Amino acid sequence: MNLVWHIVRKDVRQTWMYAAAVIGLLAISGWNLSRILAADRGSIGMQMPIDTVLSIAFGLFCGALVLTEAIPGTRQYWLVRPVRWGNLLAAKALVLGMLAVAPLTIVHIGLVSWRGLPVWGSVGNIAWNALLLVLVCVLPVAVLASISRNLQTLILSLLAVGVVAIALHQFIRVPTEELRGVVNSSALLAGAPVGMAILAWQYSTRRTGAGRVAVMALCAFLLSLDFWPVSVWYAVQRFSSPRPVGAGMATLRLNTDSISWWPQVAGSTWRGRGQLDAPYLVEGLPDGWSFEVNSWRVARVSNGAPSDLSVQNTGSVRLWSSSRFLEDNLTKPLDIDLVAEGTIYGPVERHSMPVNGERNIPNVGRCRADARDTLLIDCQSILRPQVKFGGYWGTAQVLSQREDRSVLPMPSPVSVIFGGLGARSSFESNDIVFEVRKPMAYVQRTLELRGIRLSEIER
Amino acid sequence: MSSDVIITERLGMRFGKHLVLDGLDLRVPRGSVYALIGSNGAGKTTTLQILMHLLRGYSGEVSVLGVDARRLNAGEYARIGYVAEGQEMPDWMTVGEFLAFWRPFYPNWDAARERELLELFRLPLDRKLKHLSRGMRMKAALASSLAYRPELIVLDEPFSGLDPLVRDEFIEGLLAHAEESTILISSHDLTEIESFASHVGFLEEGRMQFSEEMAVLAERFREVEVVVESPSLPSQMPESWVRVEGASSMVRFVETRWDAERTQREVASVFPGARGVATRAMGLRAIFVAMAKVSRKAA
Repeated sequence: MNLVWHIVRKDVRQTWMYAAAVIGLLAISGWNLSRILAADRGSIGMQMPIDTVLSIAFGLFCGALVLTEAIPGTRQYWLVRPVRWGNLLAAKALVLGMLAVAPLTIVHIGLVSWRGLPVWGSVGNIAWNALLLVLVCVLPVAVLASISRNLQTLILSLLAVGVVAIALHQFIRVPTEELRGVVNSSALLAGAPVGMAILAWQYSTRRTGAGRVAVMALCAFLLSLDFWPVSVWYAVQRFSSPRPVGAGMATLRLNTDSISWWPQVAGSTWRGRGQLDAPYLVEGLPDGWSFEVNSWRVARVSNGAPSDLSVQNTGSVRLWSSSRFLEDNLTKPLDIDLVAEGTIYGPVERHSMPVNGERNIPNVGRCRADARDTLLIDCQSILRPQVKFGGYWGTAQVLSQREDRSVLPMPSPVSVIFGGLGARSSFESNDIVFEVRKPMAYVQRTLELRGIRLSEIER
Repeated sequence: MSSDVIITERLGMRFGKHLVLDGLDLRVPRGSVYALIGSNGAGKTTTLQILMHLLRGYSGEVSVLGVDARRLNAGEYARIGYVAEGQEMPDWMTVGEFLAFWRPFYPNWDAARERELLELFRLPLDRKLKHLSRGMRMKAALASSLAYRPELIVLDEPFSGLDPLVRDEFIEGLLAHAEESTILISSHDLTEIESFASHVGFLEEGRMQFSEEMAVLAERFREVEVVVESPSLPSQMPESWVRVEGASSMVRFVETRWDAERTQREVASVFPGARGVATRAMGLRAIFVAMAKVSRKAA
C-alpha cells in the first residue's frame, strides 16, 4: 500500500495541472448549477458548454494519468522496474477518485443539501452517479489510453471513435426514443465489465496488439447495438421488469362493437391511404392498476395480403394501409395479428403540493411550483425517476413525465429540470396534485383480429 | 544455482516476414562482463528486449536469473538494472526526484552507494532530466540502476552518442559499482568493450557466430602474412582461414583457430614454397570487422 501512495504522490505531482483544471471547472459548474437551482433561468444556457469543457478536461486528466506510465512500447523508464501492475492501476484509480470523482461528489452533495433534498437519503444515489460517471466517462478513456502511445494518439483515437459513431448515427433505424435508455444501459452493462477486463489485461500483460484488437471489437460491438432489431430491446426491457407478472395479467381483447374504417383518409398527406380503428379492452388487471401500450407492430396478415399495414397507438389500434388494399379485401375475411409492448403500472399514489411552494415528492424528487405569473413547475432529482408521474392543478394536467425505462438507474444531473410545464390557470384549488405510478412490469401482449369483413363494418 | 545468469536456447523471433533471431543460443556466466557485439540489425537489441520481457512472440527458451523470461515479475526486476539508449525518462522530474521515486521499490537500495554515484557522475540533484545532456541522462539512468546492487545489469548501446570523456566516466562508474554483478552489454563501441569485457558474443543475422571468453578469443585469432613465390591462391585451404587475400608475393588471411604448431604445418602444406610467415595478434575491432565481412560475403 505504501508503494501505491508513493505512485499516487508522483502522479499528483505530474498531473496536477489537469486536476486543477477539472476542479476549477467543477467549481464553476457547481456555481452555475446553484444559480439554475435558484431558478435563475438565464444560466441554463451556460451549463452545456461548461459540462462539455468539463468532460473534455475529465477525459484529458484520465488519459494523461494513464499515460504517465504508457503501456505500449519497449522504451518506457518504468517497464524493467519492480512496479507491480496492481499497484500502478490502484494508484491511478486513487488519483482519479481523489481529484475528480470526490470533488464532483462533494459538489453534488453540496447542491443536494442546498436544494433541500435529504442528503443522507441521497448518498446512495450520489455514489451511484459517481460510479456511472467513472464507467461512462473515465473507463472508455482509460481503456483507449492503455493502448495508446501518447496523448496525441489517444486524442486521435477518441476523435476516430467519435467520428465513426456520429457517421453511423445517421443510419440508425432501430431504437425509438423510449428504448434509448434500454440500449444505453445495456451497452453500459455489457461494455463496462469488458472494458475493465481489457484495462486489467493490458496492465497485467501489456499485450498491446491483442489489446487493440479487443478494443476495436468492443467499439464495433457497442456501435452495432443501435442497429439491432427493436424486438431484442423490448425483450431486454421485459427481462428488466421490476417484478414478474403472469401471462393472464393485462390481456388484450378486441372490442368488435366499435370497429370502424375509412377507405380514404381526408387530407392530401394521406391521399391513397385508408385506416381501420380497432378499439381494445384490457383485462386481468388488479384494481387500481393500469396498462399502457408503448408500441404496436403487425405480426401477421391473413391470405398473404400485402403487408403495408402500419399501426398507431391512439387508445385504439389504428391500422393504416393503402386504400387499394382495403378495397380489395372488402368482402374477404381479414385476419390480423398485432403485438403490443406495454407497461403495467401499479396503483396511483397522490401527493399534493401548494402552489408557490416546494416539496419532496417520493420517487420523483424535489418539486416546486411558481404561479405568480405563468405556472411553472419543475422537479429535480439525482437519478431519473423510474415512475410515471403527472401534475394536476384542479382538473388541468400541468405536468406529465414518463418513467425512465433504462435497465440501470440513469443520472439526472441536478442541473436538469426534467419536468415542468407552463400554464395559465385560474383554478380555485391552491394545491398541485402529483399522481405517481410505479411500473410493475414490461410485457408483450397480442391482439388478434379474426375474420373481419370490412364490407360489414360501418364506414 | 546455475552458473549462467542468462540462458537462451533456440531463440527465434520474427517481425512480420523478417527473421530477426534464428535459433540463438546464448549463455552469460555469473560474474562475467559479457559483450554482445554485431552489426546494425544483427538482433542485439531484440535479444536484450526479449531477455527483459519487453518483447513477446518469440520461440525457444529464455531464462534470466533462473526464471523463464515470460514469468519475470517485480521480484526479479528488483535484482536487474537495465539501461538502454533512447530510453524514455520522466523528463519532468529532477535527478533527485527520479532517484527518490525509485528508492522505495528496491529493498536493497544503498543510500551510500547512491551518494557515491551522484558524486562520481557529478549529477545535479535539482536539475530536471529534460534539461540534462544525453550523457548526463544516461549517467542518471545508470546511477538509478546501480544504487540497489543489482545481480544483473543489462546495457543496450549505452555509449551511443556519448563523448569519450563521458564514456570513460560511465565505464568507471559501472565497473567501480558493479563488482558483484553480471553485466550484459550490447555495443558497437568495440574499443571500449575490449577494455573491460570478460566474454564476448558475436551476433550476425540473428545467429551467434561465436561466444567465448575474451582471452580465449584473443588467443584464437591471428592475422597471418605468408611470403610466397607466387600470390596465386590454391583452391583447397583450411576452413579456419578466412579473408584470404593475395597480392604481389604476399598472402594474408585471418586464422580463426590459431595454434602455432598446427598453423605452421598448414601453411607449409598449402604454400610449400613459403619463404616466411608472420603473425599478429588481433584486437576485438579487427576480429569483428573480419568476421562481419566473412558473414556478409557468405550471405
